[in-house]
Amino acid sequence: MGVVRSAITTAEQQHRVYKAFDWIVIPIVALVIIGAFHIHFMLTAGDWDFWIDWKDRRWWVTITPITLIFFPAALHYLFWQHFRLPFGATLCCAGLLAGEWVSRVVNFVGWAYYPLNMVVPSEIIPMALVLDSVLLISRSFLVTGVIGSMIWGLIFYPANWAIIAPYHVPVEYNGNMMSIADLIGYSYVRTGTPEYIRIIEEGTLRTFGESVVPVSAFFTGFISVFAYFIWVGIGKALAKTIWVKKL
Amino acid sequence: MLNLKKTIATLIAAISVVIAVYAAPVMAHGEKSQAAYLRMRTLLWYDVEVSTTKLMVNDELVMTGKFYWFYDWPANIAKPEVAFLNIGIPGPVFVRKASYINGVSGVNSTRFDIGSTYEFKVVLKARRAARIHMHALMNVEKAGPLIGPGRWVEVTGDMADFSNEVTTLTGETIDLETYGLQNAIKWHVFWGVVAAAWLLYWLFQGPILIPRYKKVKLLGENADDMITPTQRTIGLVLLIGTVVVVVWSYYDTQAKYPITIPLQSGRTTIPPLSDTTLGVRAEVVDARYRVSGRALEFAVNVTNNTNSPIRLGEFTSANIRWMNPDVSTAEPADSHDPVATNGLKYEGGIVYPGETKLLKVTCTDAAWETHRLAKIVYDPDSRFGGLLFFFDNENKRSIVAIGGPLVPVFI
Repeated sequence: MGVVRSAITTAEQQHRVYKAFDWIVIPIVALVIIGAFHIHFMLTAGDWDFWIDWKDRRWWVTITPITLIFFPAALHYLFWQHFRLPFGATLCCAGLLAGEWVSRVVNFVGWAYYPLNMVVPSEIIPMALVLDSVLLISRSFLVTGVIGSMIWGLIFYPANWAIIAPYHVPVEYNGNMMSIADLIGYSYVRTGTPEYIRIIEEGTLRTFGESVVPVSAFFTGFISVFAYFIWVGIGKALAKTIWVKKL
Repeated sequence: MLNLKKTIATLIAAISVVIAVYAAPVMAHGEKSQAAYLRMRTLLWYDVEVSTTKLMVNDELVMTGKFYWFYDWPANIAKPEVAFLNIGIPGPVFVRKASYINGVSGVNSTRFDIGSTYEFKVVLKARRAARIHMHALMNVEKAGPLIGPGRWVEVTGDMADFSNEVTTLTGETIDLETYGLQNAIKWHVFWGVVAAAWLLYWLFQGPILIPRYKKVKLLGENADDMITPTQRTIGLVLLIGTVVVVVWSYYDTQAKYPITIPLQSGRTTIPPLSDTTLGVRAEVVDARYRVSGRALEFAVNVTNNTNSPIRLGEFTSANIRWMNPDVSTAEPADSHDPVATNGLKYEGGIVYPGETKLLKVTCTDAAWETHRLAKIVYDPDSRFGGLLFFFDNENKRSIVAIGGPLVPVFI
């Protein structure tokens, strides 16, 4: 029986191998995250993220942060628990946005000819930065889950207001008052997406008058807290290190 | 010996190349694929016209017509409690400038009454060069699209010349094509740069995966010591900086746009047109579809309560028209407009005022097959429907909906 010897004999060689491993694995991981997270987000938030006339004060604000926190929470566990790297949320959200911009420009504009301002994705980076920095500062999933996830939900709408506010300026059109977002949705014909399909401004928050955003934001933050812990648990289950005993 | 893996890989590669190289243009919107009973007994369109079929970018096209919500609505199709008048086109070749149903603006969805007739008008502005088959279309919640007649339309010109300007209630004139885009991109780039800086800071800490993994396992419960005080300070700066920028951007935007409204989600109610039958009644006594002859044969009891004698000039259903040229003529608008110019014959002649008469009608044409209406005999609800057009001496029309069970004749 021959003696098995390592091909790495010096610290320099080891360093080179580690770097090569990073160069091979990190791009693959990033692409997998972009793809998987993109599919997940399109299937859950979907139209709320696609169209400017779906970004309302109730459903968009509520749905987006809750469905968005799944992957960042799972990757928080993976990267923090095994590597002490606090960038799981930013990696997810930046990757998702990169994929979304490619999709919007190539698919929605390049193939279907919708104007790009109609399909600008939601801004989600600030939420991810907050979640990562709370994890880094606290070094605790518990604190990150309770405080970070609550801020995650709370800042979603204000972080996007700078982008969507211009589309909420009123306009009179054929005797109706519409927001510019409504008018864009009406003007640029979507054969398969009629007006009534929009799930917007529906709900029972009438007693709050026009101040429904804070209620929606607190609610989404509250649910995001629970979602964070559930997905940290899923991340834990999926990030187990298993040694292969026999090939 | 056949190598299975290589064969499968070659096949996949060949199919991929074929699909990638040959992507045929879509020539229709699936209007023939819907079940025959659905097309015959939901929304019956008629008098659909377009103002022009050749136009330049920025020119306007007006589509007009009428639709009747069939009285014997199929039980397994959702009723039009919420519906939206739409246009079937491949993406925004046109922008919709206005739409009206009985003169009421159709920007919102509405509910319709079964058994009633409405007229519509849609004003479109050409946006990009294309030759398309466009349809009148009604989206019905939970029932899907109910497709009306189609027309081939050709737009020429350059999309770069297109503009779509409106003036807001705050007095600003904007182009909907590009409005707000620069601002949106600016914010996405800003946050993207911050995110990239954050990720690169960690990625350039040296090899990070294997060394950090080994160190975490080595330190165990003390693995948090891998995070330096400097890194925690950077985290704190990032947290505070992010929240400050978000809050500042919110209030700055509020100052720039003090007048904003929520998205509008109202519904409108539109009363139907007055009775289009003008006092003519028709009731189907017996109806059969002769498979070999591609002919619908039905006997119908017609009562004329008008003051003029009437004759049957047309039967229409599922966007197909069977004409009786002795009474009324029509030619196909284009190659895909199904008009059987000599497709309707009937026995019984003129129905005089106050008279009730049995008419025996035959509607024959290859369209029964080419438009897949003959499939009705295999549908789960084998009842037919359509509109009869009676004409008096002054060509005034009485439009009457008929329908009932349909029995196939195979031999």
